Amino acid sequence: MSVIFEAELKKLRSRFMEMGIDASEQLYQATKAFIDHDNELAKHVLNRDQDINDEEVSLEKRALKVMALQQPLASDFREIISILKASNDVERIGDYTTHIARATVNLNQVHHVPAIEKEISQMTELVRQMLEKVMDAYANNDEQAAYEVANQDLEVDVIYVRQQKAILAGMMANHDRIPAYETYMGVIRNLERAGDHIVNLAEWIIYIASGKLVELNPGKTDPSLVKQRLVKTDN
Amino acid sequence: MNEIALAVQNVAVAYGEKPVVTDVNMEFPAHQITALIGASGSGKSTLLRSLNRMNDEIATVTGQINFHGVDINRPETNVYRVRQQIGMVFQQPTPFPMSIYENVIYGLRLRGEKDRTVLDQRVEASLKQAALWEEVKDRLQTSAQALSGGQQQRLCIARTLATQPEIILMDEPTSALDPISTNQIEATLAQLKEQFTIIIVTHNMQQASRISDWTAYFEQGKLVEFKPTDQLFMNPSEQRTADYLSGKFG
Repeated sequence: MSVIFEAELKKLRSRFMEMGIDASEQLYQATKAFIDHDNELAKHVLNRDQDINDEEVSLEKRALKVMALQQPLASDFREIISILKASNDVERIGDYTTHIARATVNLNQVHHVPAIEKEISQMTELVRQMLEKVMDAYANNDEQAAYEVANQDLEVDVIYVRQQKAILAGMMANHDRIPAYETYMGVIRNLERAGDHIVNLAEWIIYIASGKLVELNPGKTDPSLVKQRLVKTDN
Repeated sequence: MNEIALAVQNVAVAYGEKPVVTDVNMEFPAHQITALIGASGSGKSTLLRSLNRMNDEIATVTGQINFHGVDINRPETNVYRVRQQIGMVFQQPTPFPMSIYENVIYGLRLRGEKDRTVLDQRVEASLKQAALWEEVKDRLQTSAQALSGGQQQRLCIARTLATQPEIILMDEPTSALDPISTNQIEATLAQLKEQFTIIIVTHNMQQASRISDWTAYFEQGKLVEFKPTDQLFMNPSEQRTADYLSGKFG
Protein backbone atom coordinates (compact mmCIF):
# COMPACT_ATOMS: atom_id res chain seq x y z
CA MET A 1 0.00 0.00 0.00
CA SER A 2 1.46 3.37 -0.93
CA VAL A 3 2.16 5.81 1.87
CA ILE A 4 -0.05 8.43 0.28
CA PHE A 5 -2.96 6.03 0.01
CA GLU A 6 -2.38 4.72 3.52
CA ALA A 7 -2.52 8.27 4.90
CA GLU A 8 -5.70 9.04 2.93
CA LEU A 9 -7.41 5.87 4.10
CA LYS A 10 -6.46 6.61 7.69
CA LYS A 11 -7.98 10.09 7.41
CA LEU A 12 -11.11 8.67 5.81
CA ARG A 13 -11.49 6.13 8.61
CA SER A 14 -11.05 8.70 11.34
CA ARG A 15 -13.51 11.12 9.69
CA PHE A 16 -16.08 8.34 9.42
CA MET A 17 -15.56 7.42 13.06
CA GLU A 18 -15.93 11.07 14.06
CA MET A 19 -19.17 11.26 12.11
CA GLY A 20 -20.47 8.13 13.85
CA ILE A 21 -19.47 9.49 17.26
CA ASP A 22 -21.20 12.80 16.48
CA ALA A 23 -24.39 11.00 15.41
CA SER A 24 -24.26 8.89 18.56
CA GLU A 25 -23.82 12.02 20.66
CA GLN A 26 -26.73 13.70 18.85
CA LEU A 27 -28.93 10.66 19.39
CA TYR A 28 -27.99 10.64 23.07
CA GLN A 29 -28.78 14.32 23.47
CA ALA A 30 -32.01 14.21 21.43
CA THR A 31 -33.38 11.25 23.35
CA LYS A 32 -32.24 12.69 26.70
CA ALA A 33 -33.94 15.97 25.81
CA PHE A 34 -37.08 14.05 24.91
CA ILE A 35 -37.16 12.00 28.11
CA ASP A 36 -36.23 14.91 30.40
CA HIS A 37 -38.49 17.41 28.54
CA ASP A 38 -35.41 19.57 28.11
CA ASN A 39 -36.18 22.21 25.50
CA GLU A 40 -32.76 23.82 25.63
CA LEU A 41 -30.96 20.57 24.89
CA ALA A 42 -33.42 19.83 22.09
CA LYS A 43 -32.67 23.21 20.52
CA HIS A 44 -28.95 22.50 20.82
CA VAL A 45 -29.49 19.28 18.83
CA LEU A 46 -31.47 21.16 16.19
CA ASN A 47 -28.66 23.67 15.83
CA ARG A 48 -26.12 20.92 15.25
CA ASP A 49 -28.01 19.03 12.53
CA GLN A 50 -26.13 20.82 9.78
CA ASP A 51 -22.81 19.61 11.24
CA ILE A 52 -23.49 15.97 10.37
CA ASN A 53 -24.78 16.93 6.93
CA ASP A 54 -21.55 18.86 6.30
CA GLU A 55 -19.47 15.98 7.60
CA GLU A 56 -21.19 13.64 5.15
CA VAL A 57 -20.54 15.91 2.16
CA SER A 58 -16.90 16.34 3.12
CA LEU A 59 -16.46 12.59 3.69
CA GLU A 60 -18.05 11.80 0.33
CA LYS A 61 -15.76 14.24 -1.47
CA ARG A 62 -12.74 12.69 0.22
CA ALA A 63 -13.85 9.13 -0.56
CA LEU A 64 -14.56 9.94 -4.21
CA LYS A 65 -11.13 11.55 -4.53
CA VAL A 66 -9.41 8.49 -3.09
CA MET A 67 -11.40 6.23 -5.44
CA ALA A 68 -10.53 8.33 -8.50
CA LEU A 69 -6.88 9.04 -7.74
CA GLN A 70 -5.63 6.03 -5.79
CA GLN A 71 -7.55 3.20 -7.47
CA PRO A 72 -8.00 1.09 -4.32
CA LEU A 73 -8.51 -2.65 -4.74
CA ALA A 74 -9.65 -5.65 -2.67
CA SER A 75 -10.37 -4.89 0.99
CA ASP A 76 -9.32 -1.23 0.54
CA PHE A 77 -11.87 -0.90 -2.26
CA ARG A 78 -14.57 -2.53 -0.12
CA GLU A 79 -13.82 -0.28 2.81
CA ILE A 80 -13.99 2.95 0.81
CA ILE A 81 -17.21 1.96 -0.98
CA SER A 82 -18.65 0.99 2.40
CA ILE A 83 -17.67 4.27 4.03
CA LEU A 84 -19.24 6.11 1.10
CA LYS A 85 -22.52 4.22 1.50
CA ALA A 86 -22.49 4.02 5.28
CA SER A 87 -21.91 7.75 5.70
CA ASN A 88 -25.35 8.20 4.15
CA ASP A 89 -26.86 5.92 6.82
CA VAL A 90 -25.14 7.90 9.56
CA GLU A 91 -26.45 11.14 8.07
CA ARG A 92 -29.99 9.72 8.07
CA ILE A 93 -29.62 8.76 11.73
CA GLY A 94 -28.64 12.40 12.31
CA ASP A 95 -31.87 13.45 10.56
CA TYR A 96 -33.93 11.24 12.88
CA THR A 97 -32.29 12.77 15.94
CA THR A 98 -33.35 16.17 14.60
CA HIS A 99 -36.93 14.95 14.25
CA ILE A 100 -36.86 13.70 17.84
CA ALA A 101 -35.49 17.04 19.05
CA ARG A 102 -38.25 18.85 17.17
CA ALA A 103 -40.82 16.50 18.69
CA THR A 104 -39.44 17.36 22.15
CA VAL A 105 -40.08 21.04 21.55
CA ASN A 106 -43.61 20.33 20.23
CA LEU A 107 -44.44 17.96 23.05
CA ASN A 108 -43.64 20.50 25.70
CA GLN A 109 -46.65 22.50 24.53
CA VAL A 110 -49.14 19.65 25.11
CA HIS A 111 -50.13 17.15 27.83
CA HIS A 112 -47.67 14.28 28.47
CA VAL A 113 -48.42 10.60 28.90
CA PRO A 114 -45.75 9.35 31.33
CA ALA A 115 -46.51 5.64 30.83
CA ILE A 116 -45.77 5.84 27.10
CA GLU A 117 -42.68 7.96 27.69
CA LYS A 118 -41.25 5.31 29.99
CA GLU A 119 -41.59 2.69 27.26
CA ILE A 120 -40.05 5.02 24.70
CA SER A 121 -37.06 5.63 26.94
CA GLN A 122 -36.29 1.89 26.86
CA MET A 123 -36.43 1.95 23.07
CA THR A 124 -34.10 4.94 22.88
CA GLU A 125 -31.62 3.25 25.19
CA LEU A 126 -31.56 0.19 22.98
CA VAL A 127 -31.06 2.17 19.75
CA ARG A 128 -28.30 4.21 21.34
CA GLN A 129 -26.48 1.08 22.49
CA MET A 130 -26.80 -0.41 19.00
CA LEU A 131 -25.25 2.67 17.38
CA GLU A 132 -22.32 2.68 19.78
CA LYS A 133 -21.81 -1.03 19.32
CA VAL A 134 -21.91 -0.84 15.51
CA MET A 135 -19.27 1.93 15.46
CA ASP A 136 -17.10 -0.18 17.77
CA ALA A 137 -17.60 -3.11 15.39
CA TYR A 138 -16.35 -0.91 12.53
CA ALA A 139 -13.33 0.30 14.52
CA ASN A 140 -12.40 -3.29 15.45
CA ASN A 141 -13.37 -4.81 12.08
CA ASP A 142 -15.55 -7.16 14.13
CA GLU A 143 -17.90 -9.06 11.84
CA GLN A 144 -19.44 -11.06 14.70
CA ALA A 145 -20.36 -7.91 16.65
CA ALA A 146 -21.96 -6.50 13.49
CA TYR A 147 -24.21 -9.60 13.23
CA GLU A 148 -25.14 -9.20 16.91
CA VAL A 149 -26.15 -5.56 16.46
CA ALA A 150 -28.29 -6.44 13.44
CA ASN A 151 -30.12 -9.08 15.49
CA GLN A 152 -30.89 -6.54 18.21
CA ASP A 153 -32.98 -4.62 15.69
CA LEU A 154 -35.67 -7.30 15.99
CA GLU A 155 -36.13 -6.17 19.57
CA VAL A 156 -36.50 -2.56 18.40
CA ASP A 157 -39.15 -3.66 15.90
CA VAL A 158 -41.03 -5.55 18.60
CA ILE A 159 -41.07 -2.51 20.90
CA TYR A 160 -42.15 -0.39 17.95
CA VAL A 161 -45.17 -2.55 17.09
CA ARG A 162 -46.14 -2.86 20.77
CA GLN A 163 -45.88 0.90 21.27
CA GLN A 164 -47.78 1.59 18.08
CA LYS A 165 -50.70 -0.46 19.43
CA ALA A 166 -50.53 1.22 22.84
CA ILE A 167 -50.45 4.68 21.27
CA LEU A 168 -53.43 3.94 19.02
CA ALA A 169 -55.35 2.61 22.01
CA GLY A 170 -54.41 5.74 23.98
CA MET A 171 -55.66 7.96 21.17
CA MET A 172 -59.02 6.17 21.11
CA ALA A 173 -59.42 6.46 24.88
CA ASN A 174 -58.07 9.99 25.46
CA HIS A 175 -59.06 12.34 22.69
CA ASP A 176 -57.69 15.35 24.55
CA ARG A 177 -54.19 13.84 24.43
CA ILE A 178 -54.14 13.08 20.70
CA PRO A 179 -51.46 15.72 19.92
CA ALA A 180 -49.11 14.07 22.45
CA TYR A 181 -49.81 10.59 21.09
CA GLU A 182 -49.16 11.81 17.55
CA THR A 183 -45.78 13.09 18.66
CA TYR A 184 -44.99 9.79 20.38
CA MET A 185 -45.90 7.95 17.20
CA GLY A 186 -43.44 10.08 15.27
CA VAL A 187 -40.68 9.51 17.81
CA ILE A 188 -41.00 5.72 17.84
CA ARG A 189 -41.11 5.74 14.05
CA ASN A 190 -37.86 7.74 14.00
CA LEU A 191 -36.22 5.37 16.45
CA GLU A 192 -37.35 2.35 14.46
CA ARG A 193 -35.92 3.86 11.26
CA ALA A 194 -32.67 4.74 13.05
CA GLY A 195 -32.48 1.05 14.03
CA ASP A 196 -32.85 0.05 10.35
CA HIS A 197 -29.98 2.35 9.37
CA ILE A 198 -27.83 0.84 12.12
CA VAL A 199 -28.54 -2.56 10.54
CA ASN A 200 -27.36 -1.11 7.22
CA LEU A 201 -24.14 -0.03 8.95
CA ALA A 202 -23.71 -3.57 10.26
CA GLU A 203 -24.16 -4.91 6.73
CA TRP A 204 -21.39 -2.62 5.43
CA ILE A 205 -19.06 -3.73 8.23
CA ILE A 206 -19.64 -7.34 7.20
CA TYR A 207 -18.95 -6.42 3.58
CA ILE A 208 -15.63 -4.81 4.57
CA ALA A 209 -14.61 -7.83 6.63
CA SER A 210 -15.73 -10.63 4.34
CA GLY A 211 -16.72 -9.23 0.96
CA LYS A 212 -20.23 -10.66 1.46
CA LEU A 213 -23.20 -8.40 0.67
CA VAL A 214 -25.87 -9.48 3.15
CA GLU A 215 -29.42 -8.39 4.00
CA LEU A 216 -29.70 -8.61 7.74
CA ASN A 217 -32.79 -6.68 8.81
CA PRO A 218 -34.57 -9.59 10.51
CA GLY A 219 -37.89 -7.84 11.07
CA LYS A 220 -38.06 -6.71 7.44
CA THR A 221 -36.96 -9.95 5.80
CA ASP A 222 -39.33 -12.07 7.90
CA PRO A 223 -42.19 -10.05 9.52
CA SER A 224 -43.44 -13.22 11.24
CA LEU A 225 -40.42 -12.98 13.56
CA VAL A 226 -41.80 -9.74 15.03
CA LYS A 227 -45.25 -11.34 15.49
CA GLN A 228 -43.78 -14.41 17.22
CA ARG A 229 -41.80 -12.21 19.61
CA LEU A 230 -44.85 -10.10 20.32
CA VAL A 231 -46.91 -13.17 21.19
CA LYS A 232 -44.08 -14.37 23.45
CA THR A 233 -43.71 -11.04 25.29
CA ASP A 234 -47.49 -10.47 25.54
CA ASN A 235 -47.87 -13.86 27.19
CA MET B 1 -1.10 28.03 -5.95
CA ASN B 2 2.15 27.82 -3.99
CA GLU B 3 5.17 29.96 -4.75
CA ILE B 4 6.33 29.40 -8.32
CA ALA B 5 9.52 27.36 -8.70
CA LEU B 6 9.82 27.57 -12.47
CA ALA B 7 7.82 29.48 -15.09
CA VAL B 8 7.73 28.53 -18.75
CA GLN B 9 6.69 31.17 -21.26
CA ASN B 10 5.99 30.59 -24.95
CA VAL B 11 8.36 27.65 -25.06
CA ALA B 12 8.65 25.82 -28.34
CA VAL B 13 11.04 23.01 -29.25
CA ALA B 14 11.92 21.81 -32.72
CA TYR B 15 14.12 18.96 -33.91
CA GLY B 16 15.53 20.55 -37.06
CA GLU B 17 12.49 21.75 -38.98
CA LYS B 18 10.08 19.58 -37.05
CA PRO B 19 8.25 21.29 -34.19
CA VAL B 20 7.62 18.91 -31.27
CA VAL B 21 6.55 21.34 -28.57
CA THR B 22 4.50 24.43 -29.43
CA ASP B 23 3.90 27.54 -27.38
CA VAL B 24 3.79 26.11 -23.88
CA ASN B 25 3.03 28.43 -20.97
CA MET B 26 2.95 27.05 -17.46
CA GLU B 27 4.09 27.71 -13.91
CA PHE B 28 5.40 24.90 -11.74
CA PRO B 29 4.45 25.36 -8.08
CA ALA B 30 7.22 24.98 -5.51
CA HIS B 31 7.27 22.00 -3.14
CA GLN B 32 4.70 20.17 -5.17
CA ILE B 33 4.83 17.23 -7.55
CA THR B 34 3.74 18.15 -11.06
CA ALA B 35 3.10 15.29 -13.47
CA LEU B 36 3.33 15.68 -17.23
CA ILE B 37 1.18 13.12 -19.01
CA GLY B 38 0.27 12.41 -22.61
CA ALA B 39 0.68 9.84 -25.35
CA SER B 40 4.06 9.02 -26.89
CA GLY B 41 5.18 11.91 -29.06
CA SER B 42 3.08 14.44 -27.18
CA GLY B 43 6.19 16.46 -26.32
CA LYS B 44 6.16 15.97 -22.55
CA SER B 45 9.66 14.45 -22.26
CA THR B 46 11.05 16.99 -24.71
CA LEU B 47 9.66 19.81 -22.61
CA LEU B 48 11.04 18.21 -19.43
CA ARG B 49 14.54 17.94 -20.92
CA SER B 50 14.37 21.57 -21.99
CA LEU B 51 13.83 22.66 -18.39
CA ASN B 52 17.48 22.05 -17.51
CA ARG B 53 18.90 22.63 -20.97
CA MET B 54 19.43 18.99 -21.85
CA ASN B 55 18.10 19.54 -25.36
CA ASP B 56 20.80 22.04 -26.28
CA GLU B 57 22.73 19.64 -28.52
CA ILE B 58 19.77 18.10 -30.32
CA ALA B 59 16.98 20.65 -30.59
CA THR B 60 16.17 24.32 -30.81
CA VAL B 61 14.39 25.60 -27.75
CA THR B 62 12.81 29.05 -27.94
CA GLY B 63 10.86 31.03 -25.36
CA GLN B 64 11.63 31.75 -21.74
CA ILE B 65 12.27 29.44 -18.82
CA ASN B 66 12.29 31.64 -15.74
CA PHE B 67 14.03 30.43 -12.62
CA HIS B 68 14.34 32.95 -9.78
CA GLY B 69 13.60 35.76 -12.20
CA VAL B 70 16.33 34.70 -14.65
CA ASP B 71 15.64 33.28 -18.09
CA ILE B 72 17.81 30.16 -18.06
CA ASN B 73 17.09 29.53 -21.73
CA ARG B 74 19.34 32.38 -22.79
CA PRO B 75 22.55 31.30 -24.59
CA GLU B 76 24.85 32.94 -22.03
CA THR B 77 23.42 30.89 -19.15
CA ASN B 78 25.89 28.60 -17.41
CA VAL B 79 24.15 25.27 -18.04
CA TYR B 80 26.25 23.41 -15.46
CA ARG B 81 25.04 25.73 -12.73
CA VAL B 82 21.48 25.31 -14.00
CA ARG B 83 21.82 21.55 -13.73
CA GLN B 84 23.11 21.83 -10.17
CA GLN B 85 19.89 23.62 -9.32
CA ILE B 86 17.62 21.60 -11.57
CA GLY B 87 18.64 17.95 -11.46
CA MET B 88 17.43 15.08 -13.62
CA VAL B 89 16.64 11.43 -12.94
CA PHE B 90 16.26 9.27 -16.03
CA GLN B 91 14.07 6.35 -17.01
CA GLN B 92 16.82 3.75 -16.80
CA PRO B 93 18.87 3.71 -13.60
CA THR B 94 22.33 4.88 -14.58
CA PRO B 95 24.78 4.01 -11.79
CA PHE B 96 28.36 4.81 -12.73
CA PRO B 97 30.86 1.91 -12.53
CA MET B 98 32.15 2.96 -9.14
CA SER B 99 31.22 2.55 -5.48
CA ILE B 100 27.90 3.60 -4.00
CA TYR B 101 29.73 6.36 -2.11
CA GLU B 102 31.46 7.73 -5.20
CA ASN B 103 28.22 7.63 -7.18
CA VAL B 104 26.49 9.85 -4.66
CA ILE B 105 29.25 12.45 -4.49
CA TYR B 106 29.99 12.47 -8.21
CA GLY B 107 28.42 15.89 -8.75
CA LEU B 108 30.15 17.32 -5.67
CA ARG B 109 33.53 16.09 -6.86
CA LEU B 110 32.93 17.75 -10.24
CA ARG B 111 32.22 20.91 -8.34
CA GLY B 112 35.59 20.50 -6.56
CA GLU B 113 34.36 19.59 -3.10
CA LYS B 114 37.18 17.77 -1.25
CA ASP B 115 36.30 18.10 2.44
CA ARG B 116 35.79 14.52 3.62
CA THR B 117 33.44 15.53 6.41
CA VAL B 118 31.23 17.44 3.99
CA LEU B 119 31.24 14.53 1.56
CA ASP B 120 30.43 11.97 4.27
CA GLN B 121 27.57 14.09 5.57
CA ARG B 122 26.18 14.66 2.12
CA VAL B 123 26.31 10.93 1.28
CA GLU B 124 24.42 10.03 4.43
CA ALA B 125 21.86 12.83 4.06
CA SER B 126 21.22 12.15 0.37
CA LEU B 127 20.89 8.40 0.82
CA LYS B 128 18.51 8.95 3.72
CA GLN B 129 16.41 11.36 1.66
CA ALA B 130 16.29 8.80 -1.14
CA ALA B 131 15.24 6.13 1.40
CA LEU B 132 18.27 3.97 0.58
CA TRP B 133 20.56 4.60 3.57
CA GLU B 134 19.37 1.70 5.73
CA GLU B 135 19.90 -0.76 2.89
CA VAL B 136 23.42 0.34 1.91
CA LYS B 137 25.02 2.05 4.92
CA ASP B 138 27.24 -0.97 5.65
CA ARG B 139 28.50 -1.33 2.09
CA LEU B 140 29.07 2.17 0.80
CA GLN B 141 32.38 1.17 -0.79
CA THR B 142 30.93 -1.72 -2.80
CA SER B 143 30.01 -1.37 -6.46
CA ALA B 144 26.75 0.42 -7.20
CA GLN B 145 26.15 -1.97 -10.05
CA ALA B 146 25.53 -4.81 -7.59
CA LEU B 147 22.38 -3.05 -6.37
CA SER B 148 18.90 -4.08 -7.55
CA GLY B 149 17.13 -1.97 -10.21
CA GLY B 150 14.98 -0.19 -7.62
CA GLN B 151 17.99 0.49 -5.40
CA GLN B 152 19.97 1.78 -8.38
CA GLN B 153 17.18 4.21 -9.22
CA ARG B 154 17.05 5.45 -5.61
CA LEU B 155 20.85 5.81 -5.79
CA CYS B 156 20.41 7.99 -8.88
CA ILE B 157 17.89 10.07 -6.94
CA ALA B 158 20.43 10.36 -4.08
CA ARG B 159 23.11 11.43 -6.59
CA THR B 160 20.78 14.15 -7.86
CA LEU B 161 19.94 15.26 -4.31
CA ALA B 162 23.61 15.42 -3.28
CA THR B 163 24.15 18.62 -5.23
CA GLN B 164 21.22 20.10 -3.30
CA PRO B 165 19.08 21.16 -6.25
CA GLU B 166 15.81 23.04 -5.88
CA ILE B 167 14.03 21.19 -8.62
CA ILE B 168 14.19 17.52 -9.59
CA LEU B 169 13.11 16.51 -13.06
CA MET B 170 12.17 12.87 -13.54
CA ASP B 171 11.66 11.18 -16.86
CA GLU B 172 9.55 8.08 -16.25
CA PRO B 173 11.67 7.13 -13.26
CA THR B 174 9.80 3.93 -12.46
CA SER B 175 8.95 2.53 -15.86
CA ALA B 176 11.88 0.09 -15.70
CA LEU B 177 11.02 -1.04 -12.16
CA ASP B 178 8.81 -3.69 -10.59
CA PRO B 179 5.70 -2.65 -8.59
CA ILE B 180 7.42 -2.92 -5.19
CA SER B 181 10.36 -0.75 -6.24
CA THR B 182 7.88 1.64 -7.89
CA ASN B 183 6.00 1.88 -4.61
CA GLN B 184 9.25 2.66 -2.76
CA ILE B 185 10.17 5.41 -5.23
CA GLU B 186 6.67 6.91 -5.02
CA ALA B 187 6.88 6.90 -1.22
CA THR B 188 10.29 8.61 -1.49
CA LEU B 189 8.88 11.31 -3.77
CA ALA B 190 6.06 12.03 -1.33
CA GLN B 191 8.71 12.77 1.30
CA LEU B 192 11.02 14.69 -1.01
CA LYS B 193 8.45 17.26 -2.08
CA GLU B 194 8.70 18.86 1.34
CA GLN B 195 12.18 20.03 0.40
CA PHE B 196 12.22 19.96 -3.39
CA THR B 197 10.00 20.76 -6.34
CA ILE B 198 9.42 17.68 -8.46
CA ILE B 199 8.41 17.56 -12.11
CA ILE B 200 7.79 14.07 -13.39
CA VAL B 201 6.98 12.68 -16.82
CA THR B 202 5.04 9.47 -16.61
CA HIS B 203 3.26 7.18 -19.05
CA ASN B 204 1.43 5.73 -16.13
CA MET B 205 -1.70 7.79 -15.54
CA GLN B 206 -2.40 5.97 -12.30
CA GLN B 207 1.01 6.98 -11.05
CA ALA B 208 0.28 10.62 -11.90
CA SER B 209 -3.04 10.44 -10.06
CA ARG B 210 -1.50 8.70 -7.06
CA ILE B 211 1.45 10.93 -6.40
CA SER B 212 1.14 14.31 -8.08
CA ASP B 213 -0.43 17.52 -6.83
CA TRP B 214 -0.70 19.07 -10.28
CA THR B 215 -1.05 17.40 -13.67
CA ALA B 216 -0.49 18.73 -17.16
CA TYR B 217 -1.90 16.90 -20.16
CA PHE B 218 -0.02 17.23 -23.47
CA GLU B 219 -1.20 16.30 -26.93
CA GLN B 220 0.75 16.71 -30.18
CA GLY B 221 3.24 19.09 -28.62
CA LYS B 222 0.62 21.32 -27.03
CA LEU B 223 -0.36 21.79 -23.44
CA VAL B 224 -4.06 20.93 -23.38
CA GLU B 225 -4.84 21.29 -19.70
CA PHE B 226 -2.95 21.99 -16.47
CA LYS B 227 -4.79 21.72 -13.17
CA PRO B 228 -4.65 20.35 -9.65
CA THR B 229 -4.52 16.57 -10.09
CA ASP B 230 -7.86 15.83 -8.45
CA GLN B 231 -9.62 18.33 -10.72
CA LEU B 232 -7.91 17.11 -13.88
CA PHE B 233 -8.68 13.46 -13.18
CA MET B 234 -12.17 13.89 -11.78
CA ASN B 235 -13.48 16.80 -13.79
CA PRO B 236 -11.28 17.78 -16.76
CA SER B 237 -12.36 20.90 -18.64
CA GLU B 238 -11.24 19.68 -22.04
CA GLN B 239 -12.93 16.86 -23.92
CA ARG B 240 -9.52 15.80 -25.27
CA THR B 241 -8.24 15.29 -21.72
CA ALA B 242 -11.35 13.32 -20.78
CA ASP B 243 -10.94 11.12 -23.87
CA TYR B 244 -7.29 10.42 -23.11
CA LEU B 245 -7.97 9.62 -19.45
CA SER B 246 -10.79 7.26 -20.31
CA GLY B 247 -8.75 5.51 -22.98
CA LYS B 248 -10.75 6.74 -25.97
CA PHE B 249 -7.61 8.20 -27.48
CA GLY B 250 -3.90 7.52 -27.24
